[in-house]
Amino acid sequence: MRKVKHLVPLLLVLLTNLIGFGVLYFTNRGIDNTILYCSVAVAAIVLISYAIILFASLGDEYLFLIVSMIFTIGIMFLLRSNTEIAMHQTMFFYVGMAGFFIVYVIYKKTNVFHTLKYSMAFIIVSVALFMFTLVFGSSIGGAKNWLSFGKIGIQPSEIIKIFFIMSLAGLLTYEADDDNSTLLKRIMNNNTKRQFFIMAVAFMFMGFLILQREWGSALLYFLIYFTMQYIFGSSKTVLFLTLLFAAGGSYLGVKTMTHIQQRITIWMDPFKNASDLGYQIVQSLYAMASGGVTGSGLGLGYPSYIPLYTNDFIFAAICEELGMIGGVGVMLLFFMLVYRGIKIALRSTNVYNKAVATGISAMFGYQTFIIIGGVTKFIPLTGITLPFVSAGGSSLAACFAALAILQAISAKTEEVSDVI
Amino acid sequence: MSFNKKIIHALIVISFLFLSLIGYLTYFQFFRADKLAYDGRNPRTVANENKVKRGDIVSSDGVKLAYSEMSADSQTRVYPYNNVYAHIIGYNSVQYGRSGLEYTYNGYIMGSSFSNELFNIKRTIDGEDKEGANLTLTIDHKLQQKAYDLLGSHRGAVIALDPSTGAVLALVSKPDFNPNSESLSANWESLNSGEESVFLPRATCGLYAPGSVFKTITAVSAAENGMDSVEIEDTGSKVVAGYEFKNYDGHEYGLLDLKKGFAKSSNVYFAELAYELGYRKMHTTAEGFMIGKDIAFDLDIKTGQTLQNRDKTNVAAVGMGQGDTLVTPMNMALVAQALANGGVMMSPYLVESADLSNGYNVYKHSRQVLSEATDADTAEKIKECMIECVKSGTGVSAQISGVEVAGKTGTAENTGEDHAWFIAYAPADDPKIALCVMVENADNTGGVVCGPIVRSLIYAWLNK
Repeated sequence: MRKVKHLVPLLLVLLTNLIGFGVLYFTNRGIDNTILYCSVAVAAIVLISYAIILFASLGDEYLFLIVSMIFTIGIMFLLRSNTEIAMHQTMFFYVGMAGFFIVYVIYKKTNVFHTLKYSMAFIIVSVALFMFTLVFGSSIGGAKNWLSFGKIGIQPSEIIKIFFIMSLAGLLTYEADDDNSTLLKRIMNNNTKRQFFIMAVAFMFMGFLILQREWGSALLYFLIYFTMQYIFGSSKTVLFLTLLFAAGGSYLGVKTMTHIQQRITIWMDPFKNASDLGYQIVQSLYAMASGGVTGSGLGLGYPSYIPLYTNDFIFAAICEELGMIGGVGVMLLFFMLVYRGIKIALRSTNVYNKAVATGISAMFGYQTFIIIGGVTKFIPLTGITLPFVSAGGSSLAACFAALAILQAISAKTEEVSDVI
Repeated sequence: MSFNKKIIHALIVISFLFLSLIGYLTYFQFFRADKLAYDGRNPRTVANENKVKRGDIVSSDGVKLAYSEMSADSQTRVYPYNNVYAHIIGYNSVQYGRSGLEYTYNGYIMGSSFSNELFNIKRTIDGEDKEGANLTLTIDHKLQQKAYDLLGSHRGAVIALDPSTGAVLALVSKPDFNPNSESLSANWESLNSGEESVFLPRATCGLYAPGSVFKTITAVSAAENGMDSVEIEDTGSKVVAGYEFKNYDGHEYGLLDLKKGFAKSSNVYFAELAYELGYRKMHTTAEGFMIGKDIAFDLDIKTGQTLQNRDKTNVAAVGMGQGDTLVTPMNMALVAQALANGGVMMSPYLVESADLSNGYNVYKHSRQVLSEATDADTAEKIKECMIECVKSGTGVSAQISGVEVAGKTGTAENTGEDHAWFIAYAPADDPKIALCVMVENADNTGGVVCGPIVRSLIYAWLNK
């Protein structure tokens, strides 16, 4: 058992909880006790989970604290719009943490995911999910990317992200052997063919996302793949071809797809179509501008004017009420998460785990950049979620699963170094 | 492991992405945010305003033209004179945003453009609503109402200015609309789709050919350049620079000097005069009168144009009021004002001051010279011409017994029916009011359509 050495960050999370929810409770005096329930529930799960991570020695102690901070701030902003959504999100936190520990145990105790069999299984399951979504999926916000089971909606591309990273890691760090009995083995055992095969797999994933009109996810998958290929791939030709295809694909997309052209036009001058196409981004900019450097103060802004603010645009709401300082603070939290993830990757002695940790850290980094860049008009807007903040079960599930894997990798590394 | 080096590369790239985003956010806050935060279309300005009682808008003679009624959670803006101030004050609507002075002076009306924290803290302690500043306009309500009634059902504009200060005494544009929010939302569709362009403030944003009122500028140019003694034989039509110029209704006036040619509004005389003055002189004088130049005002003024084409035929045509000249009625009102003010054109203005309800002044207009249009001697010479025009020429309909009125009529050809114009000031030797009246597609001359309006307004103003 270790000493509670991260008392200060833990207290910071709890203090943020106390002050944030306290302020909300008093600015909405007498309206709703949900704020109190959420506050207590979030604080409780943070304490319990942290105690488990600490006392059961589940690896890196910082990861979870960073996410708790991000999550606590996220819940506050959901409460600003709709107590029901905030309640759901708090519930998802519990479900997510349960999932976190399950994924942690599975990843920690097993040692099979790096095998070719599992990599192929992840690819096949992903393709099946993609196909299923294309046939039975429903569209929300222009993208056909939802599977509905009664009241529950699932966004498969969120879950597939993890499979994508794990299969890429498996294929990229595959160790050749002498077994050439199947076509797949023959491809995998030839280094050049393997690199091309991996590229084909990655572009297939992106192809499915483009068919579903999930431009943001397609971009995210591309960045993850390119990063992993750069680090763990062994062919500069493939790297170059990847860039060439991506450039050619984007050029074709911009030339032929009105959907993409529209987004670029909006990005160039959203105010030209302020009442229809550019409405979301214009309202987002108004919110950030009104917040200024220090913000209007929690509970004192008008986030309800921002469309989709519980999902893609939640960062604009944060900027309005907490100001540029608060927005940058949230970005730095995400950066700390990426930094801790990369550190875990650097320290890992197992090359497969190293690749997975890199992929997941890059995913958190790029995803944050794409959505925050989009809502602030730094880059064209593509709707993806802000990890651990945007409302939505699928996104949260994927984020907690990814976090659990990072946690498991850090624990595995510590175990090895303890033995040595 | 060599992987670690490349993993660090990835971390560097991600750091760079985050840093550039933070850099952009900082740039946005320091260079872009102010404009967007107070943008009238930002719904927060409306929401904030519900916490602050918008200031009243009051005429110079103390009549309340716009005020807010507070209820528990919102406020209703009331315009008691409905359409009369539609194109001055505009509207303030949660749904449609704001226009007119409600838009340009929003910062003062809402109390966000100046520091009034102490004032409002005191009000909060006293248990009163926060308040914006009250605007006092230069408009005289009686004159405005009179001008509004006189223009009747015509499409057009009436502008009355104080010749020595540039203060706007009356400003009417028609067609108009009722800015009260109930009426606005009930009629929004039809107001926007109609062919009348109801939301176009004719007085400040309508661009028209000036017709013969422009001859005042040609006359100024002639007087400035020592050509005010030119005599021309008028036989009803004359070929100048290869184009045949004809008088209105083909009148023949015989031998004309400047004064007589001006009073009779001879096209032949002024086309020939402008032709002889030439592009450069005409252009200099027109610019002096701000034709084709930006004019700053409390409301938007569209910028006109003249003599884009240096062709001699065009110069001659511009000289008699046609050609490629386009002006706003406000611009022509300023021409009358400058001539009444010894050649000095004053910046026009509508808002005299903004004050808090405790009397603390937060804005006061300071008079400004807009342009030294011409010298006092020239203005004096043109005055003689303008007096003659009303005494014995095309402007007799503006005569008032006992008052010397200086004026000039205009009837501008365009693709539809002619536009009728009249600019004037009075009394000629000590001007108290300068006017421009313009009626779209009047199908008659400025003397017939606009003269009586000018006459009644001068009469009303001098006998107030």
